[in-house]
Amino acid sequence: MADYQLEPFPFLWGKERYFGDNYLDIVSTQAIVSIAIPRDNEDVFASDFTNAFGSCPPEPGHSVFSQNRDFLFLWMSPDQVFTLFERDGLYPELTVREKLGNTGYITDQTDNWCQIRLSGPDIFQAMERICPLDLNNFQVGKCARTVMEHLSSVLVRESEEGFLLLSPSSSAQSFLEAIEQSFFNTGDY
Amino acid sequence: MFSRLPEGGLIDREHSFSFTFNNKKRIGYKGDTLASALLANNQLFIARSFKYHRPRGVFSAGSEEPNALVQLGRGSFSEPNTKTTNIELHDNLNAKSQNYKLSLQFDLLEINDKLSPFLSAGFYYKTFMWPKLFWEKLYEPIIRSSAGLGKLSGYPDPDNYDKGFLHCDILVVGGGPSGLFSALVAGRAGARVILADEDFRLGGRLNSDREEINNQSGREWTTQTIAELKSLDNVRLLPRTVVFGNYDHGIFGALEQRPDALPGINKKPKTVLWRIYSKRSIICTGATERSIGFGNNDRPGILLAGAMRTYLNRFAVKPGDQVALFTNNDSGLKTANDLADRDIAVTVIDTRPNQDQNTDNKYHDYIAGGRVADVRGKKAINSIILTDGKSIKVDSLAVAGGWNPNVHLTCHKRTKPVWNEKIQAFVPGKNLTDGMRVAGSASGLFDLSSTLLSSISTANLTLEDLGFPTSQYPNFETSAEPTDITPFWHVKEARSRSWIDLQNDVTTKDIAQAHNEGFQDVEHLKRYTTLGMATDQGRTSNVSALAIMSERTGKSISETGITIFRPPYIPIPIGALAGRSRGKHFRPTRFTPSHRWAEKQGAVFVETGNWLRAQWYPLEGETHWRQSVDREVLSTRESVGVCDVSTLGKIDCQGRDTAEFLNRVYSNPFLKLPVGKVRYGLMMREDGIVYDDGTVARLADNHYVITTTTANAVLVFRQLEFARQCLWPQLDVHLISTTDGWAQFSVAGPNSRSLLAKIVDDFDLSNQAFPFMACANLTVCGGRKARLFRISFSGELAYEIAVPSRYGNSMMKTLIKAGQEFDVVPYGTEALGVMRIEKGHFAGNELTGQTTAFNLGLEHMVSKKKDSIGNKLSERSGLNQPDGIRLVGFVPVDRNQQFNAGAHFISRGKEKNLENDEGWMTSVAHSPTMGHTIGLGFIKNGLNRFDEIVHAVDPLRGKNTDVKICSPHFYDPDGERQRG
Repeated sequence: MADYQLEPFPFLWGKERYFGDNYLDIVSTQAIVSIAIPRDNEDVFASDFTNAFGSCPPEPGHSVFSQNRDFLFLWMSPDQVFTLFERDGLYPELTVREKLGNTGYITDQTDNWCQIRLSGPDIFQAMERICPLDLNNFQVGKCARTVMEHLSSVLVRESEEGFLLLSPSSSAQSFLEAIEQSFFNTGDY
Repeated sequence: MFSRLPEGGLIDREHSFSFTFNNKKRIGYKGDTLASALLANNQLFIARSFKYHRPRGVFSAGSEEPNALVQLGRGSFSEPNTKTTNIELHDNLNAKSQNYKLSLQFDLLEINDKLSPFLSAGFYYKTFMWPKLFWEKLYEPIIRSSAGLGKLSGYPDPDNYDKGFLHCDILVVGGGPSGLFSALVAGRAGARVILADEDFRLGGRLNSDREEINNQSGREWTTQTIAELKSLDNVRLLPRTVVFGNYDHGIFGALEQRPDALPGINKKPKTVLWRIYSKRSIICTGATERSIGFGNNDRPGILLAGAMRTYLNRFAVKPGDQVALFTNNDSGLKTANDLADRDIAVTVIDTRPNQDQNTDNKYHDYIAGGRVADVRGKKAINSIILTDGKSIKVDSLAVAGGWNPNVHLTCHKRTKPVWNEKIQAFVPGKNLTDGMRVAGSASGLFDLSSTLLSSISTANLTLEDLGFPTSQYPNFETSAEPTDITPFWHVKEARSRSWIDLQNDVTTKDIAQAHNEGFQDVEHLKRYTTLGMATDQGRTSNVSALAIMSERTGKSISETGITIFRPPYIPIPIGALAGRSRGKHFRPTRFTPSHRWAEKQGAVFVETGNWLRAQWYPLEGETHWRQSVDREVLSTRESVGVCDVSTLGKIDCQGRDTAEFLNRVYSNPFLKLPVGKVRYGLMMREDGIVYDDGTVARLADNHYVITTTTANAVLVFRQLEFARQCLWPQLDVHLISTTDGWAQFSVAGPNSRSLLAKIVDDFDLSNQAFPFMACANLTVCGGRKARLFRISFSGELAYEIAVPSRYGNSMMKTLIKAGQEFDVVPYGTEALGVMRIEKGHFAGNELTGQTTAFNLGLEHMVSKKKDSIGNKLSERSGLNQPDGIRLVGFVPVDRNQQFNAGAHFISRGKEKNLENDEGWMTSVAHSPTMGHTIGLGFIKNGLNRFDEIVHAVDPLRGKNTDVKICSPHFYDPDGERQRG
């Protein structure tokens, strides 16, 4: 066994902050695992998925919780689902594999993304400066991939006044700055 | 003289503002525009005209203003060519006149006006021909210094700008009576509505006129309507917002001036450039008044009649005690009535004979069938001269030549407007796209009652389209509003120049000249005379000009047609188009996982695409980058070096058919790659040109990891997705990028194995257990998951070790700490590049999008036992000529000499010209291992020309070096070190 230890360094450590009544939270404890649906085995997958998580796979453009609300699933493409859950170890892909059995192709995506949670009454007016989606028509539970300030992003409407945003981890700082600038430009913070 | 009325108007007299114009302090009120405040201060002479430097004043009350443009703000905040008629007055506003030499009052370039016979339309096409030498030395500098109106500050723009996205069911453009009521009808029905208007006060003509609606004053009706619109959650009001362009699929561009921006104080964006996605649109942009041509009709104090009415009623500006109105239509009489009601002596000159509307003697005089031939007063009008020679003393003159519906947005997608004889104007054409409809004056309905009725029917039709409920509304009771017009474009008896396009100084004579010289088509007329160009885009002049042209050609106006309207409707500042994309917001920056550590070491960084990578790590005492890079190369080759290579593209590839998929996308075979092995792969485009190269590691039966070059990571992923989804959708293959997910480090050098042995957990790194091109999942540093690849870019015994990105910074620190006993060095992209050139590996410099596997010496990697993308077309004979260019190495004959990439090869004894060009140098480095410069390059038949000496000709740098052709593999050509 090696004598050295590796310490994690979150992508946006210490950047949480308030903008008036709005809160920008950096999510660093949540794992992300992608599940690809095997071609020609979609029905089997759906059945295994439902048995494993107590809910059906998400419909296009939507997110869905597992029955126990410990897993959130995001529809990403016709053959791909992301699942988000509290990280409980070094191998989140194994957590999903244990639940799902041998169905689906699984990839740990945790470190590919930074996760930012926005909440508050003014997040819509800030987000409309960078997000091309129609946020007023983006009901709770919806999710979508889009591009904000040249950056690939995933947007999940978690509540009436709350979004979860994912964007690639290597450019997390630029993504954060884009959001902060939007708040600055739209309010007296 | 002009003055402020003691009461009335939509200005807040409790809230006064102090502002300066040409360094003189003035007072205005909240609710004023700069134009209204200047007029109220009797400042009629505001600017100089573009070509002849004639005195000019306020002409209109909107964005059609051709004259009263000013330089707004000071220093770096200064903005040229802003329209006083659009500037919302605020405290401490500073404006200056523009386009003069010396002073506004005494302008040296006024001499242009005296020289006008030599400067008529198109003069610049006929002059400045000789002597030839004068063009560059004299003519051009003079023209350049005289050209333009305002001046840029010459400093970076310190203002901030932003962009944004809005969505709605119905976009209503224009906040006049038809716009407000269309929005209200749609809003009440539940549709999501955006209403945008360029004015800071919604209401349009109702702010300027005195009409009543349902026994209410127009202003009260406006206030009530706005209040109801504000109460509807589904309606968004955007005052100060010009919708400047109509684009595909119901998308509109709009520019909002933000009132909360305080330049130099709060750094809030001055404007927001909105992209509005609409399902339907209702265009309620109103109409713009036009003038009549007569002598000296450009003098300060001459205003459009509607504008004078606006200044009188909305801004409480009295345009003098004696005012004349020159009109050819009924709407002009509204101005006369409003003036008369304020006890101003009005003389009406009506071009229409048999009209006498002065039955109750409210006007000072009414001259039916009269015409204004000229005016007196240079910097401010003082009298008018009629065609019969009669002179009338006036303080100002209002001109009413008719109204042009603002059809611009309906034309941006090439729908042509059509001529309407009744109103003598163009109205929107049929077949508008994307569910666009037009209501109110923009559709050619000029009386208030028809305008409001059209807004109801238009809104209802639009609601019906979208499935919303429609409602019936009772008719409106409005004041009677005659709108008759008799066409009258210019006074033919005028002896002085009659101005048509005030902004470009185009006169009726210029139009006649264009006609005489054959520029009769409206598009030719525009370009020959510059009519309709610049900041006002000829909104007060276009129709009059083509009417005058049609008089001369004998064609009808309908046959003559109109120039094409294109976006933008108003000038859009470059800063607004850029938005926040400047400085750190210009583009995203991608950081490598070990960036923080590298920063602490004082690394020098280089941008590679969006990535910021460590280029080299200078040590104390190193004063030149070469010292650092040479040290990093030599230390790596002698012991061990570590480089962050996380930027390489990584694609996780899973599925039952992945091997088959890879076999089809790579030119070399992949069906039999064993689990635990890595294979180098060459990817081609369909045309047989090399696309990218990289490695494929098989981690499990159906699980592969592809690496790509940094530059092509996105392109390769896109190419693979295309192949997966479109070429072979039947294959069970799934791709996902993991580039950002893994921090990957190259550990290279003879001691790399010993170093890694200190951090891996119980893993046999011996050559037998983990040979060259092996790969494995493992753990490091006490259980952290990792991946290990035995691959080498440097040519040394080397590994690439990957850990989840959040451990990347710590991993770099750990590798350096664990390697202290081996004198480990971190190395950057420069040393990486030097070692790959020494080893003879090609990279981006060689993958130009024009080179083939044959050119690169990799023709053996294009398997002929299978098909793959680009396989067939790579066999084209032209790509495989024996004397085609080949990648080889080059060394200077005189080892002390240096050469550069980009040099071209010419055989000795041949003339140095393109005909004798045999290839080019692609990559060059100083090799600390060899002790001299080395290079890679393409040269014809290169593999058969080793030891031949050729010239490396570098005309750009003025260098010519003799180089010897050699193998591209300068270092360890047999690969013994990397297999060791």
